[in-house]
Amino acid sequence: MAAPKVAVVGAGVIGLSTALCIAETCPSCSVTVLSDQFSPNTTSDIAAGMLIPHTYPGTPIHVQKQWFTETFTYLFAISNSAEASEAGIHLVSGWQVFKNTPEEELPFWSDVVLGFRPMSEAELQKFPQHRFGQAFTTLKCDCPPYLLWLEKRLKATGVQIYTRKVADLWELHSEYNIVVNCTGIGAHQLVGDEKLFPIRGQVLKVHAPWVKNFIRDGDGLTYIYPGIHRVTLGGTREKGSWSLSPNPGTTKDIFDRCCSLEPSLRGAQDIKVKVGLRPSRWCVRLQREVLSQGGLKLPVVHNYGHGAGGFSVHRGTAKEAAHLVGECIAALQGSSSRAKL
Amino acid sequence: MRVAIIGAGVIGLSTALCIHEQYHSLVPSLEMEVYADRYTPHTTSDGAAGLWQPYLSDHGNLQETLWNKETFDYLLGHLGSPAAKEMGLFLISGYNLFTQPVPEPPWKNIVLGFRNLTPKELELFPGYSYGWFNTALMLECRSYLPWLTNRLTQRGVKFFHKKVESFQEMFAQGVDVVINCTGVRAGELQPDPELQPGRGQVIKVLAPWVKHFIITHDIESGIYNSPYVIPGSEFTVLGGIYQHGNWNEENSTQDHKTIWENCCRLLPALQKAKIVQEWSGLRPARPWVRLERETVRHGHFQAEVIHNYGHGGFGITIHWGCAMAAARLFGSILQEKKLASPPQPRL
Repeated sequence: MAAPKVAVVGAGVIGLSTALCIAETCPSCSVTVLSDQFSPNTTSDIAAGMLIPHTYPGTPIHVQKQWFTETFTYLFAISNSAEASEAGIHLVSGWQVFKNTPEEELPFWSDVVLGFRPMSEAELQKFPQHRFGQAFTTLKCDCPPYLLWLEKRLKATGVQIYTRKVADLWELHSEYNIVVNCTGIGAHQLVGDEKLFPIRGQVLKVHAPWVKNFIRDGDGLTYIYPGIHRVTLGGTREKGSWSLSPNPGTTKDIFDRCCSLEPSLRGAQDIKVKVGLRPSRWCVRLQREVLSQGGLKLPVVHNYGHGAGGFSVHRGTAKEAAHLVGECIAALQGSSSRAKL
Repeated sequence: MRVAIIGAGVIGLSTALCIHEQYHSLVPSLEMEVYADRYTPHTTSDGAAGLWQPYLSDHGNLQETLWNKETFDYLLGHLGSPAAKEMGLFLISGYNLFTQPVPEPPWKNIVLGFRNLTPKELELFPGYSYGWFNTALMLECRSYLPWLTNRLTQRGVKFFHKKVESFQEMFAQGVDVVINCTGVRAGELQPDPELQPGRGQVIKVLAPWVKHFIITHDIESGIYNSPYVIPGSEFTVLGGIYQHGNWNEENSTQDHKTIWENCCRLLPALQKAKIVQEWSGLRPARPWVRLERETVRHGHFQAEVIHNYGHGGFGITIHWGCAMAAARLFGSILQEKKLASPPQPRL
């Protein structure tokens, strides 16, 4: 098959990074990104983009660790290069603090991030309500810069990018050989995945440039993540809520919780409130499927359902999705050569 | 009781505040004045990035290590207060890099979370094979000096924009105690061959993605002659110049080139940073800080000078410990003049 035509639906961090991996591993492929939303209007733009993994109950830990390690290594190299500021990738150090000592003192990713160790007594004094903590250095992907940088890399490799609302994957059958579904929360409607559900997150993006360290409560609900220009204050985890409208009561609650971790945030300026729906699932749906309808076949690679952990594993899942696209191509070539016999 | 502080850098203003806070209620007649020919943002302190970090070794000067600790603990205590932002005070983590293993510094237990760098972290810094990570504090003088000035003004301390030519000039006006916080130019008031300028130059850039300080060390070149990157609340300071004995306050093109090339090699992303300002200043270098009393004859009277200068490149780091020590010296002066006891009726 000459120049397989691959459509990647979705232009958040998963869609763009998957398209890039496909372009990198399959130079003969013609890759097109289709999405109705682009940065700064994707779910990815709401997230802080911190490389701190979310654990998927349905995926083996060694696989999650592999995805995270690949992602961390990839971004580490960018953060160390001249492109770091354009790509929006930077190192950030800080603390994860717990009110009660966690069952698992060493998370699976503790040897992937840098300098992971328990906090000292002196460090914990800064957090009087917390009894245990971990200090480490990790990476942050700031959006929009990272998504814009991915778009730039894609265009440089010849990938086409179009604004288009795809209501049904079959729409693409006549133009493309393979479809890659990176629609995040959109997959609920697009492919009718009932196992996919939103976990609503409201965050504040504030101007507080003196905050140089991250602070995260181990409960995952309260966090302070300093980005290039703004600090992301979070958050909420509202399972099943589809509302994209900011809730003023929640805003005050988030602000107060963050100020109790970092009092200097009372001086934060220009508070912007954002809402995103984490595309949550028991496990990331990363698999091939061949759709069939009246004799027609459409190979699809799904790569969605990353929930709260999209940034942390994006490169790892993108590479696996690209590998699955390779398998689809091989299968198509196999069946087309069989057809010739 | 008239007290004049000469010098309005971090040392002068903090010493003034420390003394006023401690003795104002004990000495109702206390009148305090500050004299300086340069005020913020034109003092040596204003050019410093503001990172709390002493030199690598205290050369047996335990006193200075104690003053450093006192300062760190004092500032740490203020971190959670509403004043922190106005003071320009915040926590910052970062790296000290070496080309060979070195002994641990005397301040390793003063800062937070001090540890050696892991091999993976060292991959970030080719050419460096050893290093430390710790969390310390930033105290930006462009905020701290105005904050100190406000506290002093609220307390009724008077400020004068004037170059003082001699201690005698102060005593002739009726000043009882002079606090000499004149930094690198203390020699103009009283010759001091131990005091030399340690000229530094810095480039201020916009690089808000840098969240850590990075201080490199070249044991042969000496302190601050190796590149460093220190992110502030608005600008990132690039530096790495220390020229002993050089009084030139003009920016040098050669030094600019040295700083820029070395820092960009250290952090390639800096090549994209926008340069906002260039600045040169003279660190008031001395083998040790001069912090002592001197009794000066003035006609029939004894007048007192408290010297507090020579803090080199660690003025911000040590300032509060020195201010407290200066305040103790002031207390002993009051004791001797029996001014710390309630006023006696005149007979």
